[in-house]
Amino acid sequence: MAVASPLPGSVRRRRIRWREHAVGYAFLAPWLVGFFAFVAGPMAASALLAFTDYNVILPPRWVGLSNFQALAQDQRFYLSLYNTAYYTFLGVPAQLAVALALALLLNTRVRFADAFRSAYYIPTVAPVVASIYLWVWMFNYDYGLINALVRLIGLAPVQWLWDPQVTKISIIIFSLTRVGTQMIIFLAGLQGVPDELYESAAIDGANGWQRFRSITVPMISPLLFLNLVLGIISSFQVFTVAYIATKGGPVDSTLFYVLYLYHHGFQNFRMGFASAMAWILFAIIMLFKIVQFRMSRYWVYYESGTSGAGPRASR
Amino acid sequence: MARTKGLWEAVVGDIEAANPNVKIETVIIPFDDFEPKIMAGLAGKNLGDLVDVHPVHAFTFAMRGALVDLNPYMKDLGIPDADFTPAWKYNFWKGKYWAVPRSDNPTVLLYNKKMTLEAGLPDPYELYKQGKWDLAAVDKMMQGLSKGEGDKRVYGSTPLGNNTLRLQCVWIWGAGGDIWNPDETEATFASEAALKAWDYMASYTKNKWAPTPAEMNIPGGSVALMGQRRLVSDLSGAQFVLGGQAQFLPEDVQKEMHIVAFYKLWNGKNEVRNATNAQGIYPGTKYRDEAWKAQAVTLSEKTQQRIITARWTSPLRKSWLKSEMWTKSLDPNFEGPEMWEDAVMGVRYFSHLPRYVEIDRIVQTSFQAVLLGQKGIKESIGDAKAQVDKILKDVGEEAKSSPFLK
Repeated sequence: MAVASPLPGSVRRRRIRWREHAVGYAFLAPWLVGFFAFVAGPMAASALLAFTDYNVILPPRWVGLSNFQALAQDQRFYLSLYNTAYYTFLGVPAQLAVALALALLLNTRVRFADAFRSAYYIPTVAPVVASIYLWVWMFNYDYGLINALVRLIGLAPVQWLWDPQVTKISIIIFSLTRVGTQMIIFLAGLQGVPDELYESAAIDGANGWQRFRSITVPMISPLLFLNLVLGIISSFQVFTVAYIATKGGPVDSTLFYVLYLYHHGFQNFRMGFASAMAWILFAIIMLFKIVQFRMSRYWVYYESGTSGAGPRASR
Repeated sequence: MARTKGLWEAVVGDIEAANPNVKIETVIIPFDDFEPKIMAGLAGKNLGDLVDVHPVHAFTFAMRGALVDLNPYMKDLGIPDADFTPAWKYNFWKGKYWAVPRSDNPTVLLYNKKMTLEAGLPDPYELYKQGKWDLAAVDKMMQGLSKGEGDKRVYGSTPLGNNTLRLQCVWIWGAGGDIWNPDETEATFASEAALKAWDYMASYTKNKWAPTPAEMNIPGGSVALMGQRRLVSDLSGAQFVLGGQAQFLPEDVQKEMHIVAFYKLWNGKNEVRNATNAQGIYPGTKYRDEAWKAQAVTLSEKTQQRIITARWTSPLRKSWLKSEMWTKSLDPNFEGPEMWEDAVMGVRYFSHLPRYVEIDRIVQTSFQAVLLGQKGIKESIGDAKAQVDKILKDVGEEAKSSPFLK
């Protein structure tokens, strides 16, 4: 009777490790398939299409750098970049400020705190298109609620969606109603700040502003950083609100980058051109991320001190 | 007023009854998703057999081989050329039919008769019958109806041309101008005559006879404002008036409405445009002949009668304009056969050249600068012309080398 000799330990460990890897990848497979089919694959295809003239109907035709050269000479391309930058650099700080202010309010011990939290979060989960249409009504010059309030306080009504000086501000105002996710993230962070820190600061005679600046902000700075990163990424991709509320107008004042990309890709049938735009946007966002991460060393405080953080915020 | 419920199911039933070997599978695409879905279908080379084609895309698709040339089939319809209403030409380009209409959609003016009379103004339909329905009459109407401030504001009209060249063309034609030169190599919408029309169109927004384009961009658009009696008139396609728009108004407002043919412009003519709902055949289909047979049934007298009765179209054949099938379908409290005849026969061809959507956006952005007073008309529309001419040059070159247009 043959007796199977036991495998050497190293071989057995390798087999076990291999089996563990196989099981791991099996669990990952649905995500991996989705990633390669719907993210990596299209990204690779668009990288190639950026160097072609592709109108969707006829096969792509190689044109080298023509799309990028055409973009370099396109005034509306620069205008769309300007509009997007305006929205990002004004909108993201405003969104963070509003989200943080709401989180601070909701972190206080008031009655019905949970109800208030839900109420402030509801606009974020409401369908965005419905919300936009609601705001389009509210911004209406003659019949809108906002101008009704403006008139009530004796000011002249504003053409919120028609005056090119104001349209981007209107869109930023709309974006402030959808900061629920950032607010929840801040709220979670605020609730993790130990009470002892505030108590000892109070004993030392720190006032509210000093406690906020020297305790709250450093303690939630990783979440500020997270919200800033996510906010900038999504702001560079602002699309839906302009597509529905203003269609990029008037006079291109809300022609944001992704809307312009959409016009070329899905309305003008210039997929090669649109792909080139997409890759330029990707490069811009990457650049911002690199700068943001580098800069984060100087202002983001990690309590564990293990995340590559630089100088610690003073405690 | 019109109700179209069940209409298209009945049309599909007609096609299947006439062609027992054909089974129609209908794919309904919401209007807002239409472009991306058609794009996805084209990219995937899977677009069904018969495709709804909006005129803004028809010639782009034709030039790039996404529509079958229907000329070889047209004789099978058994309709003499002279019997086609002008709307048929909207899908005709470079000597070929690329799609055929299943409904006729000339523009007419939908207006609130009750509000007009209450303002002490004459009924436009009566003026029309007396031959006095012209620019002077309509200006007087706008002046008398546009009043109030804030949430009491009432507007006489929607912005003229509804922010698209394919509607603005009406005023440009009426002023003696045109959109393109005859061989379609150059934009002519910046000519002296056309500038007069642009100026007139801008005056509606500047005089506050019409809301700004931004204020029109609300759910329901003009229907929503008309339903609240904040807007008196709107130039609309027949389909919307008959089968769509009017029926979405509240019942009491519906009873106040009437329609009239478009007014006489500077050239003394009632200029009309028409964007038909048309269907083309996708070249990738395995069932090209069957697809054509389905088209033929849709255009047959029996099925057209069904569509007319459901109030989704005016007649697609000149000979039907005086038929009982048509005249009996009309509501005398709302419309009259003579104005419909003027509307249907007044239709003038507007060529939606390839890359039309791109062209229109350029023109509208320039016109917005005029409406906002940022630029003068001559400068702004002139800028648009320069940009559009570049596109037309590219289109001309692409058309010349396109094997599908030979």
